[in-house]
Amino acid sequence: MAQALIEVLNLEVRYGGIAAVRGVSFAVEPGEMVCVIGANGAGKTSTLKALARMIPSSGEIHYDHLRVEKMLSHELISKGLALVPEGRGVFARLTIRENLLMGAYHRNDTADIDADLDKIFVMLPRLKEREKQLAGTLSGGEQQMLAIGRAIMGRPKLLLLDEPSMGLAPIMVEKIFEVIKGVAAQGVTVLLVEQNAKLALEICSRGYVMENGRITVADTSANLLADSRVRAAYLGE
Amino acid sequence: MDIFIQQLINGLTTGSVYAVVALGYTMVYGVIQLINFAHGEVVMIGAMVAFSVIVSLAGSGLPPLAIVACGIIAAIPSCMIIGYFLERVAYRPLRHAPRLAPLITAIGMSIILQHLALLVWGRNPIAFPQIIDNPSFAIGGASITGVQIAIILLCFAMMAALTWFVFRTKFGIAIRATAEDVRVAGLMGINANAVIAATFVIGAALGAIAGVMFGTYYGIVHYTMGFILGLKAFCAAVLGGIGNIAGAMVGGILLGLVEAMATGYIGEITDLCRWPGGGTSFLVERCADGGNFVLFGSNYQDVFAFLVLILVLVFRPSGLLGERVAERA
Repeated sequence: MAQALIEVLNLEVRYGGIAAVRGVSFAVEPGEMVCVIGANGAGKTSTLKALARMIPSSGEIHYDHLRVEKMLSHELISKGLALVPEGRGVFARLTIRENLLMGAYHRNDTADIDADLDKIFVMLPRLKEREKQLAGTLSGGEQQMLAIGRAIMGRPKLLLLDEPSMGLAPIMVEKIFEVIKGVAAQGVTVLLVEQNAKLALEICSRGYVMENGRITVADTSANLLADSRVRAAYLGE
Repeated sequence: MDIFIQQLINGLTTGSVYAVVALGYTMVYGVIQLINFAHGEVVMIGAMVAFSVIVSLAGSGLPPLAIVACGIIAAIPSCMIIGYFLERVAYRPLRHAPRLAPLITAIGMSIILQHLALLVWGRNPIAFPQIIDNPSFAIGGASITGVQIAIILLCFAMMAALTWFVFRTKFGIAIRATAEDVRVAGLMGINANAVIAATFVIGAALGAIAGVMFGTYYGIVHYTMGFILGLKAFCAAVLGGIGNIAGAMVGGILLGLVEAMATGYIGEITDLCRWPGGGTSFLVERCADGGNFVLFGSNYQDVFAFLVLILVLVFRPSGLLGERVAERA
């Protein structure tokens, strides 16, 4: 295996006495697009939150020669690690433009930030039309677009996406996944957590299946899509 | 009519001071949902520090305006340090404690600051030196003083500056982002502790200036003055919608106007001799020859702010400008 961009060893997350993630290990290489699929409550979101230091955890998280578990949430983005949280987390009372600017909060290269804003608006023209509107007025799908655009404004090396399809109409989900593919095509490494296993496996090269806080299967997307257990459990067959 | 205009001017003056103090409550509440009850005491300390500086410079031969400016310049950093200290020592350790704990701590800090001021400046009301010329100008049968004009202009300038800061600068946007969602703001690289400390420090700086204005306007300062002033400014913040910056400004000015108008007219309104049939019964003697029988006089001034607070809490708890946007789509 080549040098991983992020390598997680024996990650555990507990909420009080309940273990949500029970000793998970995985790695993502630079430029890869990897997904974690699994049912509700399998520990997928907790895993991502631990990677972004939003919740405490035990175990090791190696990222780009750094030990993430020893860092604070607000220190990560300047190291290139961005999370688009579950439920999008756009700032409803900020305008769309302000939301995007917050994505670039840690950067001081004003001219490049403006150029990146223009790029985002080219990629997501719906946002350009509503640049000065409050983000709370956007539809769910547009908010998801905004949340991804905002993360991109931080120029991440590794983008963590938590359930970007959640609560969205199928046509919107397709658009969102197009955007994610576009981001990955620009060289950003993507770790995608999804309940929509079919879509996730279609755009990712590899996948992990999580059940009850553990990774039970790890394989290429093609093999997972062909696996009868995966098909029965997650692809509705 | 002249009472009306006079009370309009007086109300605008006190109202703009309330507004500036209310900003201190509302900014902190907006970010960490804490009512910093010690904020009124920060304002008081600002007035006291300025008092000491002005008194010690009074014989120095500096122009009076420069002396008052020195007072303000000394009060601002003093209050900023206290504001920072309050957050760091009293509230930050309780950030994740139940809501009641920091609230009680806030009241405790308020008492501590009051008694520190008692130790330093004594228990008697202190005459605030009136060293600057205070010319009076007549408008429409009423008068406005130079100090009133200065207070109103300065308050509006501060409100404009804060609005610019919060809506147009990167750190200001970060404050609003943190107010909305601390965790997601953290993902953006925003250091929540820095933002929270900044809201305390900015609020305290505004409070310091408000304290000096209050001392100059009323000509008297006292170690307990922060209590009632702080409570009224808190009422103003709730009236406008606590956590909402524009709301604090609108609420403060409105509260000042309501208070001034009510104080100006309550005597007339509650004069039983003016009521229909008032001159008939046992009041005949009292009301003869333009006499009066006033139930409530202008000494009820302090009641109205709290009356407004009760009405707001009953009829519009979110305040005038509170929560116009859906929290989450």
